[in-house]
Amino acid sequence: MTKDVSMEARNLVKHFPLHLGFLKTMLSKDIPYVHAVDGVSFKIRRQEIFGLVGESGCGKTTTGRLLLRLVEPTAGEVFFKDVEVTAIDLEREMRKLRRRMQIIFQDPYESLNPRMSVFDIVAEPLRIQNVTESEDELRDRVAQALEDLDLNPPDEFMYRFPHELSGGQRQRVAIGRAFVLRPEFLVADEPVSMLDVSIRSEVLRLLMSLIERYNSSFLYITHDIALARHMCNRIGVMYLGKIVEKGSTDKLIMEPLHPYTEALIAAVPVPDPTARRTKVVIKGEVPSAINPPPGCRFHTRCPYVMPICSKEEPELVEIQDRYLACHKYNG
Amino acid sequence: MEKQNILHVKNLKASLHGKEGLIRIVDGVDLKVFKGETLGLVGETGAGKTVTALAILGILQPLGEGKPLWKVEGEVLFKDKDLRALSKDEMRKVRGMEMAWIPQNPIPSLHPIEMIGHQTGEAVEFHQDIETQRIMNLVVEHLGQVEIADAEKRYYDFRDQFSGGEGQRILIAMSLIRNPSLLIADEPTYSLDVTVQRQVLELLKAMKREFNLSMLLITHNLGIVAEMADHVAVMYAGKIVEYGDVVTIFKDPKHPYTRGLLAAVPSIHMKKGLFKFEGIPGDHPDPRYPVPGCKFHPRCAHAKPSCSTEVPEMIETEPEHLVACIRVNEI
Repeated sequence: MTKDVSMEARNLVKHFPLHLGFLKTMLSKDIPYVHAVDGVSFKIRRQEIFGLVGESGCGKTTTGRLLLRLVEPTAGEVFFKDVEVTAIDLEREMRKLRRRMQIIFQDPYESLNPRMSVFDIVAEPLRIQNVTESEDELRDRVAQALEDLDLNPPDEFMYRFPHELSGGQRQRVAIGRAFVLRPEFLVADEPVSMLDVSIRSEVLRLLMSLIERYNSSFLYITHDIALARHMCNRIGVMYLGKIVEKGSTDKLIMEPLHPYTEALIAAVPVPDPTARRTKVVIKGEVPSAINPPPGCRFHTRCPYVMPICSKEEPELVEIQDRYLACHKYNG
Repeated sequence: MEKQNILHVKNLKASLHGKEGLIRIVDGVDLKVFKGETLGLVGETGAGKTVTALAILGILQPLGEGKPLWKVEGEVLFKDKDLRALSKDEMRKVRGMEMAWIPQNPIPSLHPIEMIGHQTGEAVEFHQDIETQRIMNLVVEHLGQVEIADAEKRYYDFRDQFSGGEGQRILIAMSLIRNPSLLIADEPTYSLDVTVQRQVLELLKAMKREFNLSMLLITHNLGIVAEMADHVAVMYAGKIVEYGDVVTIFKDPKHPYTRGLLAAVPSIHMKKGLFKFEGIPGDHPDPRYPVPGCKFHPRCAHAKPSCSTEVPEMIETEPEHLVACIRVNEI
């Protein structure tokens, strides 16, 4: 494996069994599965920000959790630097590894324990990992983490509880908790989607400056492709558990090749009343992940659908300057 | 030619009866919706957009009836009659036939145990003397118009059998079936994915053209406003801070809040690196603790001492462009 790859997912698969209740489970021949993630591969290089973009239910959140082994994969491997994350012992070795990889969740109203003070929340990872040698050092590290996120003065914020903070401040505490260990790899799952626009940019700016300072590599999970454009070096577009197109941000957005990427970009409302608007409207909604359509999963909504699309599943192959899974460009 | 206004709201105030006394949520709002035009009401969470809409519709529970909740003051002129002076029955007639409301969260807004077809036609059934068969035909026709496939069959379905996008389209059909002269849409695409949001926006545009609808569109999404609105009112902490036509607001914003808001939203067409991730420092004020003077001054980079004492009046900087900022000519 090359030296500059920080995180690699190889053919990750996650199927969640559907809970039917006791009787139905006993009677039915095979239990239906939700095909949340179905063969996803990508590499995140050192100091790179990789964006996973897609609509709800496409499996982007599950993919992020699989990388940190917060959910166990059905199949596939995850490599972090030279460690095979999916092969190590979950009880003994995973905790050590967690020091180097962290996650920021979507909803700061639910990801912070309401009974813990800000100090305890941010200090918890340090305590669990036994990073600091004295209480004083612990305090300094927490104060530094809060200061890095403009929660000034830190001494005042430390003894507040989550309900005394605004949404933006809470999410900054959650970011502080993730960065206090100075992780090498970080997953952020829609970190600003719950926040108002005027607060959003501020939080993202702080997040980006920390990533730069600690040279972390970063997986940014979002449904907001406009924001992804300005944050990420490379983007993977997901649809129903699969990556359909993957490449450098600028190329992907300026010249989307996959019909879904094209529709996704055209669908974003542009905050400019004089902007030229392309009219690519795709019909219908994302089908259920319990019985994903055969062949190409997008063929039910695709404006360029061909007979082959419903029969054969397109592979993600290198075409021009990107990876693409579409029959339109195959041969 | 003088434009005809269909809705004219004058100095509308709405206060919530809370533990601490009356909490003013909407604080003297003036709005005009012209015939055949869309007014975009933009603001962040807690600005009072939805309460403004509910007050216009007269469905905030007034003081003194049962459990006192809301106190509403001001004038709401709809087609030159004062809605606030109408009796309950007259108001019900207005809401039923002339003024339609599309609430956010489509599926919970629908009746859980009534057939979709019935719900859609209910207003017509209630207010007009038409035979049942004709109402059914009308419903099927309208459901078809909003692209519900197999409308004849799905007439008999219940809300849980519809997706979010379909639910939103049903609500649109439900409001258009009465042939209203004003449509109040409150975040009509809030819980939808972008590709489905695009479908709903295109549908609203088509319906607006076809029925020459006047619309009050409430949203926090500046992209949607830029695309849909003719005029824009920017709301902050219960007050309108800037009003103008859509191009002026986006190209030449005058109020520091509008400027901050626009700078905080990335466009997908903007080159990478150009978006600066500049937010507005601080948080939206809590209406329980009113801010003296200009409500935006604690977050404003241009604030001077008099901003905290003087309540800014709307100043007309150029025809049809109003700004509530005492420093508008200096900054």
